[in-house]
Amino acid sequence: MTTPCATSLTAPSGLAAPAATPVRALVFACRWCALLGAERAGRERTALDPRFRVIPVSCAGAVSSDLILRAFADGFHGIAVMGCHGGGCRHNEANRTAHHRLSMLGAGLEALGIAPQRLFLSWGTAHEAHQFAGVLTEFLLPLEKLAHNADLLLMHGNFHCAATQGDTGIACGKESGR
Amino acid sequence: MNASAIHTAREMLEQGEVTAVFGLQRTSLGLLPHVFTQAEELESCDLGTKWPLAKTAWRLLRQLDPGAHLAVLCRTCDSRALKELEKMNQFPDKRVTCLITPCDEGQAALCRCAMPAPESPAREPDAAGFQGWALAAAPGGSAAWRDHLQRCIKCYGCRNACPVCICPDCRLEDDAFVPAGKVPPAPLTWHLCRATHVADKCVGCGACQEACPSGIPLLALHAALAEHLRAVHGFTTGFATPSPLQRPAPNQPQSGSLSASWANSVGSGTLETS
Repeated sequence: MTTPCATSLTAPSGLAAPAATPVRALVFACRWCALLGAERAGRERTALDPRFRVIPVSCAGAVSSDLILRAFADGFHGIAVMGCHGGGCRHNEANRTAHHRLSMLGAGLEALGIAPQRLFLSWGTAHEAHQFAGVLTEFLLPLEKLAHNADLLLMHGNFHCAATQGDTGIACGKESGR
Repeated sequence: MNASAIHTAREMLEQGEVTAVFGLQRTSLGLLPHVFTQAEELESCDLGTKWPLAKTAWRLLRQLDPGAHLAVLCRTCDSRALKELEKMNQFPDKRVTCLITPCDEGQAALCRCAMPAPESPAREPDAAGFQGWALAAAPGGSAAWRDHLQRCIKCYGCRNACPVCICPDCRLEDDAFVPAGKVPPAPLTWHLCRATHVADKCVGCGACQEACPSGIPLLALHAALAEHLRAVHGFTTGFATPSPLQRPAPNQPQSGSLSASWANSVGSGTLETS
């Protein structure tokens, strides 16, 4: 097979310079909506920004704030939670509860001076391949501009260094800020 | 005002209406929490000092026999914290009556309490009077927070002092989440984790900030989340209102499966459209 895999680190055609900025993004994709879009995008070889990894969940409601906090502390620049549209949750409105809790988490991140674009919530518009690609781009592009932002120091628990070092914002050779 | 709370407490003891009265007592060692069982003891009670009593009252209630009735001479925030504890079923077989003394302007300013306690001590604080939180002046930006939070020595004082931090399996003691021995702890998995866990129960009593040996302005972070809940959900802690963050979501039945009323199948309740 010579078809390039969508997860390769080379920039897909049509995306030039942006893919060069290292961005570490995590996407929690609910199996009933967003994961379908992600898989369809993969099957159809839709051009996707490769700078993300997906964790499938059975429901966005399963994504607790603690998981997100740990993922940020471990080095992610941005985290997206993609679930089903309001009224469409297979698990009895759990997406609504998730939205309330995660929106509050967003307010907490903002209160600490962390850019609010780092936590991205999307409900119900990512189940087609092109939709998933669009939502993903909407999530990833702002993270490029924030790739060297000082808030990464707080997120990663880096108290020692005055500025971000290298391209990850994690300094002092630490793998994880926790 | 103060005299009225003491008067009520004295009456309750004399008439056997309460098992005991809990409050601060003036002693030769200074002010100490004290369980008053005799009306005469209330002579030495102090109402002028604000000191968060709800956590100690919670510990005390766990020691009392079922059916006990405890009166607490406290502040409005203490009474709201005790209400939150009651909502968490912490003392289903006991009664608590809060005899509230208002904070003066200076005391209210320390917590940036947006609602100074009511003029006269009430058995139940007036929910309509709460204006919501005046957002504590944020230290400003992630750099300022780094300056504050790097002083954290992970003493657990904030968690221990907080009246609504009562989980037996505390996430902050989960080594997979908070590695033992790493100080200062990562801000997100310590401070923001605790803040999000207590957000729909925190009454802004300031016990955490008071307990912090490093002088970290914790109230500012908690106030930000409280303001979010007030602005988005119209929710204020400390009253009978259920939290907007807990299940079940509004309009959903407490339990049982949902099925359309025309469906001839097992399950109770009807299918609600939101």
